[in-house]
Amino acid sequence: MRKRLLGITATALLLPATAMAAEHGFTWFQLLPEGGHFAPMYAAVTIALLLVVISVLAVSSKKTAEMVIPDPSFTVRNFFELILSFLAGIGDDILGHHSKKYMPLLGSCFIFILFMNLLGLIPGFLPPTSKMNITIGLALVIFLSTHFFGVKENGISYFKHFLGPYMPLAPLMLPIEIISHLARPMSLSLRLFGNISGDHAVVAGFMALVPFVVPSIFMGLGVFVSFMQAFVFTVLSMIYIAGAVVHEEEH
Amino acid sequence: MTDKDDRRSFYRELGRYGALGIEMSISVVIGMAIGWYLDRWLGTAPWLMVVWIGFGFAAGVRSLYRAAIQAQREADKEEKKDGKPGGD
Repeated sequence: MRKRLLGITATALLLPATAMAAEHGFTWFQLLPEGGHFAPMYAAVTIALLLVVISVLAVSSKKTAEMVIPDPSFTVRNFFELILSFLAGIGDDILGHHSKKYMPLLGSCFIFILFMNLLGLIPGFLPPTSKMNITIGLALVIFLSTHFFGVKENGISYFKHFLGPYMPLAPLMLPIEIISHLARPMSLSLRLFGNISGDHAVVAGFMALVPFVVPSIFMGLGVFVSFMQAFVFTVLSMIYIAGAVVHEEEH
Repeated sequence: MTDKDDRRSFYRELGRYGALGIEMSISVVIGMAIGWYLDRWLGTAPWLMVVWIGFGFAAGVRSLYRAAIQAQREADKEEKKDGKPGGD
């Protein structure tokens, strides 16, 4: 009963704040120095620090031997383990048996993007991923590490697959391969940016029309979109890394 | 194939084939951008842009082809697994 009352009070307090935030484009990060320009960067750095603090808190209180025993109730650590075991299963499917090597990058990518997306649902905050420069940064990390892993696994012969399977056609295949490799970070960043800013615009639009009940439906949709986009980003990164690392006759 | 495997492969394929459309269109745009800058550099407007739009389109088709090959390989694997005696 008390919990429900608290929930209702919180909602009543938050709704006008959300409407205010949506209409004036106000975010709390604007109060920081140079906040007008760097608000998305502040938000992204805050999320990163938050994740570091959470993981340190989860790990530091335990010895290594205790880490294998799962927590008895639903804790933050169990939540992260649920997400990561799901990702690790998919990574096994796509990357094969050496997927463990790439999971630190991909898992932190997923959680970082997920929390940046979810930040947009809190009143008074904009999701950093609704700014193109943040998503391009994320996609560039994936792009560079894909080729880094490719060179690391296959040596210099990694660049041979840019020339295509048939040598006389190599001058034709080289520009085609270069374009299709450049299209990957572009499509990754554009998709994430478009979905998140679109979702945010829908919530803001309905908030301006009906600042009651209706926006919460679209906020529920926003939670789904946040999960889905973080997931799609990670799965595509896995597929790209798999394409660079696994050498077969046809990539 | 269990229910969990089914759901997992569904999500994976959703990501993989959902990416194709945007990748095809962006390939053409990137090809066009490369062609435009080369034209400006070499002063051969508009010919290199036309050629590189062609390359961009080919790159889009190439990523479609790559996905088709991958899908074919996976279907073969599935068939082999299902057809195996004693398999489910």
